[in-house]
Amino acid sequence: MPLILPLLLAVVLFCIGVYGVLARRNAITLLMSFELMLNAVNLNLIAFDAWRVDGLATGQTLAVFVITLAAAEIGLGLAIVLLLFRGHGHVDADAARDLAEQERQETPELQEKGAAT
Amino acid sequence: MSAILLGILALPILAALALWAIPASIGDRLAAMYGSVISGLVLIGSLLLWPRSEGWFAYVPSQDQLLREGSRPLQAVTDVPWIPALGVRFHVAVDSISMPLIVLTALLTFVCCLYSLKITPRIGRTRSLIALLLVIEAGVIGAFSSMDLVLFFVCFEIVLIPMWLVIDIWGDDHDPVGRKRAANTFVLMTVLGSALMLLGFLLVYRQAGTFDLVQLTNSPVLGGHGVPLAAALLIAVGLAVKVPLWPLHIWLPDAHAKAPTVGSVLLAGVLLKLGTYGLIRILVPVLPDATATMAPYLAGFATVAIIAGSLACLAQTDVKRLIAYSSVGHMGFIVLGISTLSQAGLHGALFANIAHGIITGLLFFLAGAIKDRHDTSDLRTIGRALYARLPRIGGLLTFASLASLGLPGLAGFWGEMLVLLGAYRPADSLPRTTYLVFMVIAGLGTVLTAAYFLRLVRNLCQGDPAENPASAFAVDLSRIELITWAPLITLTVLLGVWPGLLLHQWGTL
Amino acid sequence: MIATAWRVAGVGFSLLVVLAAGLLYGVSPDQAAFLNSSVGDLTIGFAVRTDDLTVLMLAVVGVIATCVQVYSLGYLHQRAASYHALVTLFTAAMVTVVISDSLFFLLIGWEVMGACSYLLIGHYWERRDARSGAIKAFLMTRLGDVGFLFGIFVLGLGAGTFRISELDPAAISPGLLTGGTLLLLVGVVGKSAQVPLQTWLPDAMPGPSPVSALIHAATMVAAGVFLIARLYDVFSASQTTMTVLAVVACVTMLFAALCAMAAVEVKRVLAWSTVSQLAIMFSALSLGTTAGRHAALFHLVTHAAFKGLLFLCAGVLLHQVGSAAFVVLRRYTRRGRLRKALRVTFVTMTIGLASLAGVPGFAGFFSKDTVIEAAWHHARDGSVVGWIVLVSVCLTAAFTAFYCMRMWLWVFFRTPALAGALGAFEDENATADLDEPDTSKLRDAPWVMLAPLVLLAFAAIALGYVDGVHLDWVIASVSTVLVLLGALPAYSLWSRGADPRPVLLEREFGVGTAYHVMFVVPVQLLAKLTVAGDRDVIGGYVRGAGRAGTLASQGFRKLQTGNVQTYLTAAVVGVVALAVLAGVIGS
Repeated sequence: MPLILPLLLAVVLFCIGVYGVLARRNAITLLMSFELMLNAVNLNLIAFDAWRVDGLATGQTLAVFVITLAAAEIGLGLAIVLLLFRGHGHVDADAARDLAEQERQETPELQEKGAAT
Repeated sequence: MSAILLGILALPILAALALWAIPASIGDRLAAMYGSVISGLVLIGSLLLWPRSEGWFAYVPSQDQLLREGSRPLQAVTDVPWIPALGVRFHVAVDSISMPLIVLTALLTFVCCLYSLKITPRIGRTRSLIALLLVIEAGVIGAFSSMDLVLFFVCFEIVLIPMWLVIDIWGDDHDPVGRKRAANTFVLMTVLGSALMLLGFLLVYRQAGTFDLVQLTNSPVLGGHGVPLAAALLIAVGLAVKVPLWPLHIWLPDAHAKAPTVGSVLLAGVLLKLGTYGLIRILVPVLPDATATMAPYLAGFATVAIIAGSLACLAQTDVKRLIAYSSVGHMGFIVLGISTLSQAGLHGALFANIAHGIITGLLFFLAGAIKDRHDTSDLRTIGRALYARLPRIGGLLTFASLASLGLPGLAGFWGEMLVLLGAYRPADSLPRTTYLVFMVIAGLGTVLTAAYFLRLVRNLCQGDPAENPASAFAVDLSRIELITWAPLITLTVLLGVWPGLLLHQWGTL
Repeated sequence: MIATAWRVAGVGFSLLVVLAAGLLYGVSPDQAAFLNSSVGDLTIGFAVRTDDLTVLMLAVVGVIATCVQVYSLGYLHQRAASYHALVTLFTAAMVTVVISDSLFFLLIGWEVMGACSYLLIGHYWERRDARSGAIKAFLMTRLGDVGFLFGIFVLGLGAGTFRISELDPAAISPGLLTGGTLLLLVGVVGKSAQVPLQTWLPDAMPGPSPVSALIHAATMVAAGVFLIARLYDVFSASQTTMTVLAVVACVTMLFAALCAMAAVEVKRVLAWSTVSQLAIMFSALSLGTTAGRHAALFHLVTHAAFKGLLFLCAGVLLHQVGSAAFVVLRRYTRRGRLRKALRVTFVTMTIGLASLAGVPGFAGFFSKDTVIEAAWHHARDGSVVGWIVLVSVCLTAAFTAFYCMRMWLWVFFRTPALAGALGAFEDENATADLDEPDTSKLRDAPWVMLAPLVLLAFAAIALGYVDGVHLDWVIASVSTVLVLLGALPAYSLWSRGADPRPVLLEREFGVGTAYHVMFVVPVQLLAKLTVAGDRDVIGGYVRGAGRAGTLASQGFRKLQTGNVQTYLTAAVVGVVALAVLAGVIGS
């Protein structure tokens, strides 16, 4: 099989992932799009490994690593989404702006609150 | 020998750590006593290190003299790899330039610790103050003894943070905002300076392939243009912030005025010397041609510093700020001496370094004593006629002022004289006429220096005692003050009547 | 206790100096160097020497210092410890100058003297005039000393040595020689209060009178004369320097004598007179001949005796009467009390004034005649400088006689004029002159103060004969006529009860004010400007840098929207941009 085919597939997958991450609002969809991107990379790794046989199978090894990491990541991500849902009652990434920079005047209050707790 | 050097480097650091490990409930008195013992040991160690051989290592006008038979100015050498990947070595050693400065550092720290036995800033927490003083001591001694650019830089930086804390925590207790700002300005400007200096060091490394000062001095980076000039400029600007050279001096008056007495003493007596030491140790020998290219400009700024510092002193109303500004003028003399690149000038700069440390240390102690007694350092609030209220302190202030204005027979004179002599006959590669102009202007600067010190004496010590009654807390010279100032007074006179004590040490090159 | 110790130490030290002078007398000249260290090819260190000049100066310093120390035992009542310590330190510094063979060692003594002078003028630091006089004295001499230091550089580097005995004028190139000696001359002019640095000496008079006698009459201000005599080979090798010296000296002697003629305070008259007499010594030196040098030194010695005596007498007036202003002294004199109550002072002061005025038979007469004789011989050989000096010294001799006579008469004698010349010295309120002071308690000073007076009065006569009397009768009679010409108008004015003082002279030609406007005010302005510049310009940049950082951080805070997808979009755009950039650079 020519190398170009799996690479093209990977590009398509990655672009779908990027589109999902940037354009969709649902946090679950975001996580799924991350998975798509990761798997696109995995596909690349395996394709290059099959194309350039080096005996150590580094590409495949790395792909296995990425799969493991992805599993961990999705676990963590789902936990965050779960907490988000509990706190806000929705899983809308656009609406969750708790980490936005506050206006200046509010900072001392926040610090006092923090000091009180 | 090298064991002693490592000892005086490690002892203050370990002692400081141990002091922090002890619970804070240990009395202030005990902490100060501990500090005095440790810094006393360091002082003894540094005196033991005093080199037996003459001459110094950094600046050699011609290469053949370097290999002179039997000339081994470097002593107490320790040279082990530190970060092998970058070629950085832990290379420490002393010679006759660094040794007097190390002794001065040890002496001033010792004196400060002794002084803290009885007189401490009102904020308290003397334990931490002593520990920080010890860290500063170790850092400064490290910078004075390091023979590796990166090590020098590290030690240079180690000093900053403790000093920042000293100003920020123990500074002027009437003005918390002002002391915080002074501390921040100090630390930010010096860090900016040392960042530039580090860039310069990296350029040197790129050119020469080593950070080792011994190798760099033996085979300096030649060429007065292009990359060497850029490196020299960066290093000079970086060190000039520390010196401080006009117009980079703006952090100094605030930092000195707001710092506690011991902080001012160390800041003026020791920390400023890091800058001039760096110029002599690194800039002049490592980048000789580039230094020669920019020396006239450096001398020009130094001359402006002499005049501007003196003029600024004439209009000050705060005694600590006045003394701080006087440092700008005196450091200007030192930089002028260095930028003549002549033997007389360099000798003068080194001598003035030591003399300024001793005399300004004494002046800051006196200013601190006056400030403690009147709870302000504002000249108008303190009032006049100190001769009537505090005759001994007033007399000592006059003595220190005379010493600082460069009265022959006291330590301040020889440095300035040799600097002017150097400017009269600078190195052959430099434009002589320019330096003659600088010499005349600097000479007029000494008159201005005399003017502001006499104005200080007039406004503070003299005056009608009837109009300026003694305040309730006006206690004249206490015993601890006498004990701590005695070494400084003695050295001021001794170096004044016997300059050979140091000059002989540096010998001929 | 401490004061007593210092009193004893002071008297002891000055006696020691006299003893040293006695021991060194006749010893063959010798030098010794010590504590040397080399800086490059130069040797910086100390050296001492002894020769005739050293012994002579040691004797002068020792005798005057002893007189002053003893006199001060009675004169000084407060802060005696610091006073005696400083006078002793001053004596030591002067001895250093005298015995030094190293230019730097000399400079140490030279400037320590200046510092002691500053501290002692400021002895009564409660008084405003003492404070400002002290600062003025130090700053003006310091200004001169900068020139002095540069002169040392020029000569020392020119000759390759800083030892006085090795300073060979032939080894120095003529340009350097002239430059160096002119620069040294700046220091000399400052120290000896010659034009244009003359204003500090009259303003130094608020200091204690014995200090004025020691420092501002006999020794320190004469150190300039000593220095030129010491370096006479070097100085006389440069014709330009000698001409400049002659011009400075001639201008100064006339200027100062004119000022003395209009001063209304005993010490101020004496101060101007000192300036004028020093100028006479300089003019003798400027002849460049051996006779000139000899005349200058002779006049230095006699001047030390009679001017020291006069200042000590003024001190007695200050001590016993409370003031030395003519206007106050006149109130006592109107009843004729002053002369009778202070009999010893009157007699000794008369001797001193006679010696100063150059009345035949007194020491001042002989020494001044030596100067005139030297100038005449030089002028006869066709020297213009000689003629200038001759004329100036003769004029000054007449002026001197005038102000001596004027002071003597007004201070000690009741004027025969109508109503006792009320208001001759009181400009605003003539009737205040009528106040009758209580003269019943007026006594002469204690014997510790009078003994030095008697000793110095003896010296003010006897010193004239030490050198052996060899008078040129023509010159002697001319100078006697000059004295009479000066004294008679003073007598005539006094007998008419008039004391006309031209405004120009009374204000001392406005030099002090001019200097204030020309130097002090601009420096103060510059100082204010520098502080403002530091605060607003340099400090402004620093503050501006800080503010720029804060502003930038406020701007960047706006980017922190909290929307994850915005961040990601930015990241992706960044990565793509970097990739494109890498591609462009790579290809």
